[in-house]
Amino acid sequence: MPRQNSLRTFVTIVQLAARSTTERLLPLVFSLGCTIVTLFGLFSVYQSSIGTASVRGMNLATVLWSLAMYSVYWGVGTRYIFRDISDDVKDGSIEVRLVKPMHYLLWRVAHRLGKQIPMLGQQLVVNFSFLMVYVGAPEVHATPVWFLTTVGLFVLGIFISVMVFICVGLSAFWIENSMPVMWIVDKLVMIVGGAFVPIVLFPNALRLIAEWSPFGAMMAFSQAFTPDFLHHAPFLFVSQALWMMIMAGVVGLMWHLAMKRVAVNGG
Amino acid sequence: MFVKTLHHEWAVAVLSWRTNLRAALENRIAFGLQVFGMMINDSAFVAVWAIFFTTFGTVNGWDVWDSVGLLGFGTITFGLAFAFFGGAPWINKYVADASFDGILLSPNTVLWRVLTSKTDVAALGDAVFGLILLVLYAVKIQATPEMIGMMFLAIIPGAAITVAMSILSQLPAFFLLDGDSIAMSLYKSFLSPSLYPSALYSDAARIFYTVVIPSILVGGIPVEIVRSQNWLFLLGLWIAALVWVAIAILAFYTCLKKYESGNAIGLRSAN
Repeated sequence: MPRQNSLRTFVTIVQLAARSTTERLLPLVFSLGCTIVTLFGLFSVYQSSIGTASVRGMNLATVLWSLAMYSVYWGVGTRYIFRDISDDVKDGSIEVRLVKPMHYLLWRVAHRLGKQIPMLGQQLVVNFSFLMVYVGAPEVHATPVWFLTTVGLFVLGIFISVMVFICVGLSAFWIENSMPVMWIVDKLVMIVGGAFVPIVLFPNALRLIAEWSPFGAMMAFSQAFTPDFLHHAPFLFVSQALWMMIMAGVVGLMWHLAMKRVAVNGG
Repeated sequence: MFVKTLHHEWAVAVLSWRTNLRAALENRIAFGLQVFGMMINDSAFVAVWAIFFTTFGTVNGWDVWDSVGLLGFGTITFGLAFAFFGGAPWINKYVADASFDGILLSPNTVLWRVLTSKTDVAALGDAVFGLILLVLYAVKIQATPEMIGMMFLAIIPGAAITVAMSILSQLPAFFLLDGDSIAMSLYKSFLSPSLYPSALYSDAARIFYTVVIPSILVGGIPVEIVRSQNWLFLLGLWIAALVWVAIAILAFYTCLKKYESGNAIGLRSAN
């Protein structure tokens, strides 16, 4: 059977998965409540710490908008690709999915991104509405260049994130439980991605490490609200391009090695 | 009669814990990976708050060491809760796949049987990591024997509240189809704010995270109890824990009445 790895097939799978998620609205509503409760706590902590002052050129509003970007990243749900793949490996269902007319990894990514689209939409609406009420709009010059740069960093960051979590998922071929690997990767994204402290507030050496690591590269778009963003963006793009090439190579190699370990038993 | 029943329940729980641990230890590499993986996972939170307090310095009287104490309490209570009562997060699954049928037929107290049915191996990593952090915190603040006693006494209600919140977050599964994801969202609403320094919360947030969602009772309040050496404050924590546990038990048995037996045919494991 010929492979159908076209963009059209990919988009169709995304649409179908998104439709299946929107059929169940209750989890989305509960997730929305959870987001608000969590953000309220973190924002309250920063309100006490910054107040009306500014730290490294960032006031409370810009800090909170930067932190909210992690929720947006969370909404894309690329981290769940790990679980999808490792579950397939552990329960053996990967052998059935390998014979699908679309490449297994592409199908998995399309399926997950589709399932997450309603969640992402909800995260964007909830986060931005909550922030507008809580601290108002961030002080940025929202020019078309700023917008395109932010979107560009976001999209490339998601590509890196997808590849990193594919690698974590594929590690299930070698270790029985890849969850510990996931914890480490996930928490590295949390630390250097600016989930609790915006990258721009890091000590200089740590900021450099964060920006040139794959985990920081995933979250580069969270710097969109920092004062020197546009000046700094070319370096962020270079870091992302570098990690995209490296991760593409690692995914290719791991997939090749993993396929040698697959035993299709039929039945 | 009551003592005999209590003894029987305890004996079954011990047997269940021992069986769960032995099963987990069958694959020692996976066991070690989960325990140490969780410890590395937890250390990320220490790193995050270390960066935070390096940037902002002392805020509302709290510095990085208080956040070490906070995470120490948070992880040890979480660890003990799910190492011993790891069945709590499985309630939605038991409802969805009709495993409750077997549990309801068991001659033990239903909730106790459910709670002790699983052991979360990774939670052992949380418990060990929490203990390490609390020892470091005690050394740093030059804790007196009284303060160390308070630390131990604050862990138990924290663990009880954690289990109670885990049970409560699972209960929508008795009424709704998407119990798994709803439970995850509800529990996350409790867990995430418990990891933030409670002294930095506004008054409104402190009330919310004490009365509506008792997040700060498992980490932040215990640190404040040890710092202030206030026994009344500790007594208040115990009372709050008892209230939340009572609410969880009542709510569980109320919701259990809604459970409808499944007709799935299958083999049930020892647990």
